[in-house]
Order: sequence, then C-alpha cells, then structure tokens
Amino acid sequence: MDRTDPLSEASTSIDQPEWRELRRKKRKKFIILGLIFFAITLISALTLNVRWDRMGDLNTIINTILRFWPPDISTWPGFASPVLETVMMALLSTVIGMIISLPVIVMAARNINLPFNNIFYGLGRLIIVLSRSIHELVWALFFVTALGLGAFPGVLALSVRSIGFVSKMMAESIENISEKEVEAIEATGANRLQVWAFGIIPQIIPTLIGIFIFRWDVNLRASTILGVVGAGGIGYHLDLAIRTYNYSEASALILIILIMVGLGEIISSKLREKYVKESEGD
Amino acid sequence: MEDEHKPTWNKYDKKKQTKNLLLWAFVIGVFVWGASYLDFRFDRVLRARFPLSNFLGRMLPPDFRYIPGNIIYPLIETIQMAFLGTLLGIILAIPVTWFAAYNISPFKPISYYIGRFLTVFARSVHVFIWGMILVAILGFGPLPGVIALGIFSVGFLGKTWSEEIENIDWNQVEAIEATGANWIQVIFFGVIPQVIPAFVGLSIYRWDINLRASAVLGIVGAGGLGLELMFTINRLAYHRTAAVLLVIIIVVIFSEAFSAYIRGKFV
Repeated sequence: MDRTDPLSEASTSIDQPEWRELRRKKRKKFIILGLIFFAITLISALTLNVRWDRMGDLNTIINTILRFWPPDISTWPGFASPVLETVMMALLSTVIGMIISLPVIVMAARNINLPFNNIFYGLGRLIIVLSRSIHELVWALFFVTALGLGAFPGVLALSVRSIGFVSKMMAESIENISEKEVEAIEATGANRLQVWAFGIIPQIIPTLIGIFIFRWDVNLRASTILGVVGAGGIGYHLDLAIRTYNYSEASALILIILIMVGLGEIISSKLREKYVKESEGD
Repeated sequence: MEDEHKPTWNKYDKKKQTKNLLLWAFVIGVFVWGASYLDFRFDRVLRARFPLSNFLGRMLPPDFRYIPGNIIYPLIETIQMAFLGTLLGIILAIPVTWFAAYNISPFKPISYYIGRFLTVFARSVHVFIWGMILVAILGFGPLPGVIALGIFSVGFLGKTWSEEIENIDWNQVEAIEATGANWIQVIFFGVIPQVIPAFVGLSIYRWDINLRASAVLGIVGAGGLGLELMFTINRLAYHRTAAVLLVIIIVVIFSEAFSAYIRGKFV
C-alpha cells in the first residue's frame, strides 16, 4: 500500500460501502469462529469426567495445600545422592543418545549416499518419529518392565528418547554443510575418511555442541520425574513422599528440583554462549 | 617458514593440546565414573528375567480388539485435557505476560521480576510433578491433569509471548499514544495486533505439546490414555499395552501434522 494522506484516506474510505461490507464480513467470520471455539470449550468443559465425589470439599483441599508448607529443609542432606544420580543420568543419557544416534544420522541425512538409500532414509525417518512421539516416561516404563528397577533403564529411556531430536537436528546440519569445503578437501586427494574428518565434521561441530548442551538441559528436566515409574533419580523420592502423605518433604524435594533445573538452565545458556559462538568463529 | 620446534603443522599449540587432552580425559573419567555410580549393567540387557526380545514378543501383535471398547473414551478425555489445559494456560498466561514483558510491564521494578519469576517457576517444575501434586490435592481424574497442563503451559507461553511483545515495533505504539489513547487502547490497538499471529502460532504449538503430555499424564493418576497404559502394564496385559501405545503414537503424529498445518495456514 502506498502512503496517502491519512486524514483524507480515512474520511473518504470509511464511507465507502465496499470497505464497510468487507469489515462486516470480517467481523461476521470472527464472531462465528469465536462462537464455534466457545461451544467446543463449553462442551469439553461440561463433559469432562471430573470425579467430584472423590474430591474433598474446599476446606480439605485448602488444608491439603497448606500441608505442603513449610518445606522440610532438614531432609536435604539425605538427598545428595539422588541429586547426583539425576544429574549423572542426564549427562550419560545425552552422551549415549548421541552415540546411538550416529547410524540414524547417517541414514536420515539426504546427502549421504548409502546403498539402498531410499530404504535406509525411510528407516531413519521412522526411528526419528518413533523416538520422538513416545514420551520418555513411556520409554522408561518399557525399560523398567524389561530390565528391572534402577537408574540404568532410566538412562536408556532418555537416550532412546534423545535419538529423534539429535538425529533430526544433526541430519539437517549435515544437509546444510557447504559442499565447497568438502570439494576442497577432496581436491587434495583425500580419501573418504579424511573427507569426513576434515571436510564434514569440523562444519558440524558447533551444532553438535549446541545440541549436546540443549539436550542435556532437556534430559535433566526429564530425569527429575523418571523415578515415578522406578527409573532412578530424585523423582522416586518425590513420588514416595507424596504417596506417604509426607507433603513437607515433597515440597523440600520440589525446591531441590527447582534449584537444580534453574542452575541447569543457567549453565546451559552460559555454555552455549561460550562454546557455540567460539567454535563458530573458528 | 622453517621452525625447528614445529616440524609438522598443528591446529593447536602445545598448551592448547594438553588442555584439550586433559579436558577429554576429564570427560571420559566422569562418564566412566558415572556409569559405575549409576550401576550400569549391560549384562542385564542380555540376562534379564524378561529379556527385551521376549518382552517385545509379549507385546506383539497388539490386541486391536481392545481399542474400540476401552481406548476410545480415554482418547477423547486426553484430547479434552489437552484442549482445556492449553486454554487454562492461555488465560493464566495473559496477566503473567503483561507483567513479564519489560516494555509494557505496569510497575517495572516489581512486576517485571514477579512475571519473570512466575514463568521460570511454572516451567522448571515438570508437568508430571504438577500432576502428582494436584492429584494429591484434588484426587484422581482429568481435572488435576487439566490444571497441571495449564500451569505448566504458563511458563512456556509467558516466556515466548513476553519475548514477542518485547520485540514489537514501538513506533506503532507511539503512534497510537499520540492520538491520545489511554493505556487499554494502546495495548489493544498498538500492541496486540502486532503479536496476534505469533500468539496464535505459539498457542497451537503448545496445544500440540500438551496433547503429548496429556496422553501419558495418566501414569501419575491424572486421567486419559496414560491411566489405561498403567492398567494394562500392571495387569501384565502387554498385547493391550501395545494397542494403547499404538493409539498414543497415532494421536501424537496426527496432532503434530495438524498443528503444523494450522500454523502454516494462520501464521
């Protein structure tokens, strides 16, 4: 739209019937959409199967909430080892997840040619979708049922869940590398391995570090709850505290989780700032 | 250039090389120590009571006959929970966003930090922890699930929305202010029209995430497909578990496609 004098534009166009017609139509559409939205909301709110009979009255609810206060900080020293376990679970699962993503990355990157490329590409995409669309708790349930309780199935669950994200991002990063640098290495007479080592991998290192840090942060958040299904970490203690109605201990644990996740976010953003930018500038 | 001390070219000098070596040694050390600390037993994969292959054998084929009678209702409940949870999140996120966006925050020194704190707080506590707390307070059923999703969504929506508002074109706001509009009019005609597409897109994206979460929130007792999943696992009815899992995967893939389509259309 080119600029005209706003005053004259406004005073003439507002009286024009087409403009008014357009406005009315737009308003009508907006109202209809709004009504449909409102109807859906109303229906789903009214048909939601709320178990009012299982819920106490307002007094009980408020009393229950108040029992979370104050957090029982005296229990903190005993939770040092679950905290460490949670952090280590996040770290190890990210590393293992990235290692087992390697074949998936090779399959899913379009510019790496394998024999039977289409089949492998489809397989890679399938693994990515499966890994991403199953929640980490479901993976944890799966591994706990298959392997027994402990942090090990939790780590495996987080690793498997990480495959999708890591492979997708890495494959995209490989697809976007500059072919010129690869050609330059090839022109020196380098073999395939050398092309990878000096032409391709240096280009994707910043993405790799960025993904690692990001995924570690995500896995840290996830590992705080895996204990609910018996897969290790601090979530087990939280689940236990809530199940035994020990609500002040539960709120102390939630405080620990808040601090842990908060620190994780600060560390990951600092690290990303430092390493990703530094290596991009190389 | 002939340098006796550097016969071969190296990307890093000696000092950096040692540093890198030490760093790698440290990383591998932490990894190995962590693996032993977490009691990694790869032999368990091979010699477990239910080895993975056996377990998969118990799951396959999925019991499709279980779907019509037992999964349809939890499926509807899951979708309802995601929808209402997102809506609750949107409603709660509006005041939080108003506080947390620095350029429109009402009493900056206080409200900005209150808003920021609320978004970080809501986001840092995982939706499952919110679910556990609310199930403890309100009892089983979809209602605690809806509230948990709502609270958790506030963190995401408050953060991303306030970032959108902080990046608006302030000239347009000044233009509205220059007409003598009061602050409500400034917000409605200067700020909101600039951010509506982003708000809608982010809300739909959040709905997609909430659907994934609400499909499994039942694990902690908050209704939906997750409850059914827990039932079938606790009864060792793994063929039925596979059927529930299949439904969850289909729902998640569908919601991802649907949200991508809507976002592409509106935003």
